Amino acid sequence: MAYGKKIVVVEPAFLVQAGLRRLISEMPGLSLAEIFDGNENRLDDKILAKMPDIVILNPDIFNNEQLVSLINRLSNENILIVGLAGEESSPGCKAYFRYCLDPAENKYELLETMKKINRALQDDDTQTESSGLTQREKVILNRVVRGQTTQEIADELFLSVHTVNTHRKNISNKLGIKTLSGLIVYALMNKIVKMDEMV
Amino acid sequence: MLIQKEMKMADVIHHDHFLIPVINRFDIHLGFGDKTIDDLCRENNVNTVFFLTILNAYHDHEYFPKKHLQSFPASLLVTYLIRSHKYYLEVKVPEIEKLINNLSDETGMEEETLTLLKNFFSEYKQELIHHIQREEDRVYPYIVELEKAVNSGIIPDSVTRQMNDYPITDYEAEHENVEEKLFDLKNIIIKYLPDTKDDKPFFKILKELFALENDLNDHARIEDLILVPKVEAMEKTLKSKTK
Repeated sequence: MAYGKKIVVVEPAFLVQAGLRRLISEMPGLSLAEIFDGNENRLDDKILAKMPDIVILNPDIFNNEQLVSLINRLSNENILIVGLAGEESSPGCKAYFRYCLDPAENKYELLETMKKINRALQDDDTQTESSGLTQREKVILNRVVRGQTTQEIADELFLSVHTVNTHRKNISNKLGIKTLSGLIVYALMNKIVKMDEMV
Repeated sequence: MLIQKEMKMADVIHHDHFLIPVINRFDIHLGFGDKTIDDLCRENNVNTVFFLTILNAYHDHEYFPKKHLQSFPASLLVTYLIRSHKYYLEVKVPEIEKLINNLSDETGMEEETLTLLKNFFSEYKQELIHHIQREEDRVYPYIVELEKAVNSGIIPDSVTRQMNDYPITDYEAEHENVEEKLFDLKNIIIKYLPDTKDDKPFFKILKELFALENDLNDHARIEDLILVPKVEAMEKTLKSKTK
């Protein structure tokens, strides 16, 4: 399973693909989900199926209309789009993107840009990235690992089911633990629940 | 490196030693001398094209063997996948299990915590076994039968039924949960291990967990890139015949 934020790349040239692969591998917390050449059928669906946080794409391989529709579709899903565009790219192209990676730049310049991109993502959801759980989240985690359902937790704490679900999602994101058994181990190890509370 | 039949096996292994367990599954063993891949395959009755496809798919994550797909039977691939399952269950998983079970007082961790980790891994193991059994009981026999039907033109009802109710594309979507558990275990050790006197025993455990995850990813990639497209093509052929 990929770790961290997921990136999809759309670029046909092998050397550029390989370079991006390398660049992404140097960024802790980012991982490459897939590389597309750009000429795939229903490319937008295929990209969305990978559920990326970031899409790095070469704008020069699309015509204007394709580019605008792709950018709109991805932006609607809250995906951060990064252009592969340097001095030589069609003028005005950079205007589409908040961030650009210029293939002509050296490694450290590129890494700086990647860091900025990564930071931009964190700002969007500082909530999910900060470490410790809040008091509320601990209470909910305690109940989750004791086997209570979302509905039961909602009823007893006078919360909506939606709120409880949001808390559960945040807990998993913060801890980086997705399975119930994993949460149980975490909660017991960290004394959020005691062994004798468990049924 | 694109691995080709006239290459010396020894050169290939010097270049990528992670291929050793892979060739072992073909019953090709160390001590190659100067033999080429082709020599070794012939000696051991291994289909050379198939062998090269598997080796390349492990070696190069972007390798996609479009043109070779049709040139070996799916049953070979099934046999290979079953052998790699065996390797995970009989070699890799017991190795990790032993490391975890041997964790003891020297780590300075509470008995309770150690028990938690042991139980978590054994739960993971059960899920992995379950997943593998499902493949071997339901999916692989279907593929073998499907191939027989394509070759003979005689299509048993059981094949038609499974082709309609549970085509290979459905099965493709099912890898997730087992992977999540393995990931959680790694993360618990990396991020949330309680204070220990000595965390060195965990280095080895982590290394083995990463290696197992890697192996399973490779395995899944082989299924997705080689097995599934091949089966899809056979399903298509049969469907056009039955219409």
